[in-house]
Amino acid sequence: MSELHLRSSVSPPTDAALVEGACAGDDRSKEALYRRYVSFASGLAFRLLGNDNDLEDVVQDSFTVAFRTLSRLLNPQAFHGWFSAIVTRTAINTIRRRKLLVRFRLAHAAPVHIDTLVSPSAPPDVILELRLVYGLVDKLPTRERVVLLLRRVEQLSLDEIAEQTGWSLATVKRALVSATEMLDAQSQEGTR
Amino acid sequence: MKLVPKRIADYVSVPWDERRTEKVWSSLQAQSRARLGPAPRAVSLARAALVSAAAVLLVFVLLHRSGAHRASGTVAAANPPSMQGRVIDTHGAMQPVQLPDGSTLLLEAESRLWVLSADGDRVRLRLENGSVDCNVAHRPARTFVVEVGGGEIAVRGTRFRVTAARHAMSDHAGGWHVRVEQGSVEVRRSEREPSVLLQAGAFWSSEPRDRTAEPNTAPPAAVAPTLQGVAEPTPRPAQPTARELFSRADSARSARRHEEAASYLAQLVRRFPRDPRAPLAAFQLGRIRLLTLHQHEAAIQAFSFVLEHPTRSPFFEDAAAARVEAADKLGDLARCVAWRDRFIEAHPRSASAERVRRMCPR
Repeated sequence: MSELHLRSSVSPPTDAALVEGACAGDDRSKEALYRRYVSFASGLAFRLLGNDNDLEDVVQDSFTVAFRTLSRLLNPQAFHGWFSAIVTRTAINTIRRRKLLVRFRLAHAAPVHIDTLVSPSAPPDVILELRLVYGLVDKLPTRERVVLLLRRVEQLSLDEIAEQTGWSLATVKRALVSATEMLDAQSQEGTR
Repeated sequence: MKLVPKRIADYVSVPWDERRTEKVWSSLQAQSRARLGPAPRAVSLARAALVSAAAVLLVFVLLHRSGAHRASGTVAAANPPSMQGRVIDTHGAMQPVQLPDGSTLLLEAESRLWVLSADGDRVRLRLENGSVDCNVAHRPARTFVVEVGGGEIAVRGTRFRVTAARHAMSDHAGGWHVRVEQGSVEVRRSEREPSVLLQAGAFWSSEPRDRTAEPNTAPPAAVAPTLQGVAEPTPRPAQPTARELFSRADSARSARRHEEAASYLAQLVRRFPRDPRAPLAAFQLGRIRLLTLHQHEAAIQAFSFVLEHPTRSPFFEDAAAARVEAADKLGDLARCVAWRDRFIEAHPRSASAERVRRMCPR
């Protein structure tokens, strides 16, 4: 009984409990949610952006949106998926905005630095895959870029990508086909 | 024990550490303090219902108005290329617009612009919300007018930016400001008032208290003579508190209205230098000036405020690095080298040390 009590008292609160707490105005719940998900948010955002330039802004904006709209989350236990969609959409907006600013010469392009991006512990096949994907993403339109990264790096299903980006399944499929064709063409070019 | 295979994503090195975690959390806390506490769910639902009703009403009004324009614009539609009657709503993304007269517009996210007319003789736009950068093709025979908040801006050929206040129901209602990048523009606050001629580099705000907000961006020669004589039609509203300024700056920054955000942050730092939010406000102001507005000397002033503030903020190290960067971009070698060497001595293990070391090459 006491062991059971001990176990239940040390187990971390669920996402649902933290969401409920944050909605009720408990700052500690909000902070716990932040600390639980900040690595996830920074990781996902960095992999989608491909560089460090706007990373802090994307993470901050994602949490700002999440905390501001937390009361709209109907199923508090689904926080992870809901928050993933917020981070993804914030990153998409950031990528689009930067592209536009670069086109209008109001900002510098932020290229992907493949050498610093790939972990030294990555096995050779993973290094090859990451080099191939990140070597192409700067040349892709935003939609194809995001779908390719979510599929090949995050390894999400097509349904999950559609849910996370807010695009239709057909759009996701089309974007993936287009990006994969370019990836194959680049891969063949590299082996020639 | 079950071994979980690593995903490819796990082999991407993410440049995130405890320092950045704390930094972002500090910013979020400051934002949260600036707003009212989170609303209980019931209140949020009531507010959501209210907002939904307002949105439905707004859509109805817009549809009705654009429908009326479509009806009256049938002649214009037969005479392409006409954009008359179009309402451009950018939602979450920026949007470039090419006008038939060769002028180009860049609308910020969350902006709404109504094209009242756009032909070879006359372009008339109404900015209802957000910001627009106008790059107006020079055509002496054509008039180009942007209506905003009851006033208007008239130009011949130039480049300028207009920002309309976001919160139509706040005490900021109808507020707007203009920054001229090239050439000159004529600004009129309302039909009853005389116009003001603004030259390149000038910043003008429709709100009386903002006119002297940023001395480095508002050349008095272009603005002061006419503005001094403008009578106040209503009593001046109460000055916003530090919390309100921070909150407004945050909303403006989120909507990418950087000049407006900078204006609020500058007011906060100037009027409330001892407020706990002041160092963070100064740091954000410096970043906006450095990275977005490219006002490097003004950015140095903001970062210096953070570094000289009696309270050592969590952004101290970042402000020191950013100040070196601003001096580097300004081409001020003496200050750049001095601040760079001081930074490297004080923060040799900083994540920014390597980057700062490469700055100010002789």
